[in-house]
Amino acid sequence: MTGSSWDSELVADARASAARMFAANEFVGVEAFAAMGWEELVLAHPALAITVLSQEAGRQLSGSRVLELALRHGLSTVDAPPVESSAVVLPHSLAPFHDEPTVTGLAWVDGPDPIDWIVPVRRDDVVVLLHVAGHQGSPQPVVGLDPERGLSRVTIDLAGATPLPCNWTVGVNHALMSLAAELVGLASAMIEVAREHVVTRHQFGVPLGAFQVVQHRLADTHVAVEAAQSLLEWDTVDHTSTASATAALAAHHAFDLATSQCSQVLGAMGSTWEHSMHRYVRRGHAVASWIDLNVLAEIVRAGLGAAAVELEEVW
Amino acid sequence: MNPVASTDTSVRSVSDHRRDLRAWLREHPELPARLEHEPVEIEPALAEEQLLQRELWDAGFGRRGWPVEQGGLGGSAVLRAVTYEELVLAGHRVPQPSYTLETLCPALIRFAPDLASEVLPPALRGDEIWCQGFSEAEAGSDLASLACRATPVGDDWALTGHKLWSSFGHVSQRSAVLARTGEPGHRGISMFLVDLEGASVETPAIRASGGRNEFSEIVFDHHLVAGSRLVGEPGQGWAIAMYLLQWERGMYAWQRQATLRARLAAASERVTGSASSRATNDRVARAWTLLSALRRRSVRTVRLLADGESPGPEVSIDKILLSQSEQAVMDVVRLSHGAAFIDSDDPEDELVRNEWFYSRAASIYGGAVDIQKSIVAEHVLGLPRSR
Repeated sequence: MTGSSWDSELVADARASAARMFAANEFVGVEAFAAMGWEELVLAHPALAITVLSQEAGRQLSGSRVLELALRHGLSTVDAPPVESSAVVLPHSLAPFHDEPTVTGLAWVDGPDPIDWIVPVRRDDVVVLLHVAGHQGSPQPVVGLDPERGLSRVTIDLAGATPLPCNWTVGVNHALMSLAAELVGLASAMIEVAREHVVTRHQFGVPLGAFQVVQHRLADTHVAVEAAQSLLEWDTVDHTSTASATAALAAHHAFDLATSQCSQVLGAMGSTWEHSMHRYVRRGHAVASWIDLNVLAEIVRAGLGAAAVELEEVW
Repeated sequence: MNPVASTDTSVRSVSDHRRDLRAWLREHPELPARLEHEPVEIEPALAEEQLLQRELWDAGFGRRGWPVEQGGLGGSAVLRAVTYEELVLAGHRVPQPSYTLETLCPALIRFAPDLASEVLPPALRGDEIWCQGFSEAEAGSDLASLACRATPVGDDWALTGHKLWSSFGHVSQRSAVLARTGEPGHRGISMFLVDLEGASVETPAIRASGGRNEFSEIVFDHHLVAGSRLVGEPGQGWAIAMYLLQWERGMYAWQRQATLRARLAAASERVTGSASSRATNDRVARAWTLLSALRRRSVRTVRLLADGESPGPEVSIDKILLSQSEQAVMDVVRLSHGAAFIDSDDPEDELVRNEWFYSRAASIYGGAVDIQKSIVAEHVLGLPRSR
């Protein structure tokens, strides 16, 4: 990661290790994380570990529980059941569920053993996690836009649930940084796929990449990706809402641009089922669906208006 | 703690410098060049900023981060970056003459240290304004095709040619001029530090679309330049220009992000409660996102330059982000002034109109964004040379 204050060797090692893990597993769930020692790295260097994992997951189009890993780390709920025996039920746009008798959300249920549910619910203006027994919900695999995510839809009866306190805002901030990193990983992989095409495919006797209009489409996308990338280093900014909202907005923009520009320079090839582009587009929209752009823009506005955006001492 | 090598023993770290300067600025609220009271015309604005440069220099803060040999107190160039940001945080403008000095002086120090020792102190103290004399009518993006010529006259040189788009040229005492001393193309170009006085040079101002005299022409007619004013060797002009452009990508971007951040915060506050809509939020958030990325990128670039390293073609990304930030922020500022942007005759609104128009040129000056995109495509992404 260029310009980073993170230890570059540690980043390189983590990146190589993540790349191997995602290459070796079709779905990276609890067992793979534990086997590769990622849970320890998340504890020791949460920002670095979550960023590297999420970005690599995006780059390799891997299904994984990295978003849940990031969220859980930020929630820092001591009494919650461990990830091996529970799944967080994720609400749309990561907005907590209303306190109703039953709720429906999405969850990763990859482990071999029966699991309990953890459901974030807004109760009396505070977000609590409800710990619900496993038998009170029955998960069904989701196909939808992006079947490769490995998610299930689950409707849960909240009767008799145990409320646990949590730090929801910090959890969401961690989750947003994970989503931003995954979108950056996706967008950079899309540029790479498009680059490969435009340096090999010829029209009018020259490679497509020699046309300025093609060059500038990819340059614009690269600038947006690098802008988002520069905002991913976040342990220096104390996980503020503004920092994570800013990174997520930048990453979302980079993915949007990659979708339009990379698809265009791929020509008809990019419009086929055979070509990988639609898988990136599917994954990116699925990832972006956890992000509410309006809420993020409001966070930035509020932060600026209240002069709450502290300048990090970068030197 | 970030240790710095400095002869000023009171500055042991960047944090010390920041703390001392912050305290000094707080103790001196009477210092000139306030952000919120900028004159509409550029000439009085520059004059105020020169006074601020002098106060900073005489108090020692303006000397921090410049080499001892050139009148400074030593220490990393990072100290200068901190100075600019602290000025804005204290409600002052970044002195515009320093934009040019931050690009020209590092090049002079590197390629002509003796000359630099002689000429830098009065410029850095704000006693003089300097400008670049690079572009010509048909040598803008294609700078290497410039036609202004320097011919030897004994040990000296005679300059003849017509420069364009020199920021602050009409109020400048000196100009770093690129002129042809040899073959066509970039190998035949040399750089001179030229005094802009006498009958053989004219610097008519060019009024920018916003109404301010932002730049000028420089017309040389057999203008004599002492041999000692050649920067580096004959034919080295292109290499020097490429070196100083990196500083323009780095430090100038850093200076601008500091100012733009203040502008965006003020504009965002101005529309709070009233015209606060989803569309406004989106624009503010987009501008803030660009600015945040620019800040991170220019930190990296300035740090590399301060350490004597070369940031390479990736600085074109910084330049693109700078122009996007300038335009996004000034669009928010324009909207925050509402109808006043259109029909108010208050000086404050006239100034905003000036600045907004000038921000439209941010994708042109200092290297057109279109050229930067080609550099990113060919030298960063590795695409084939364009046809």
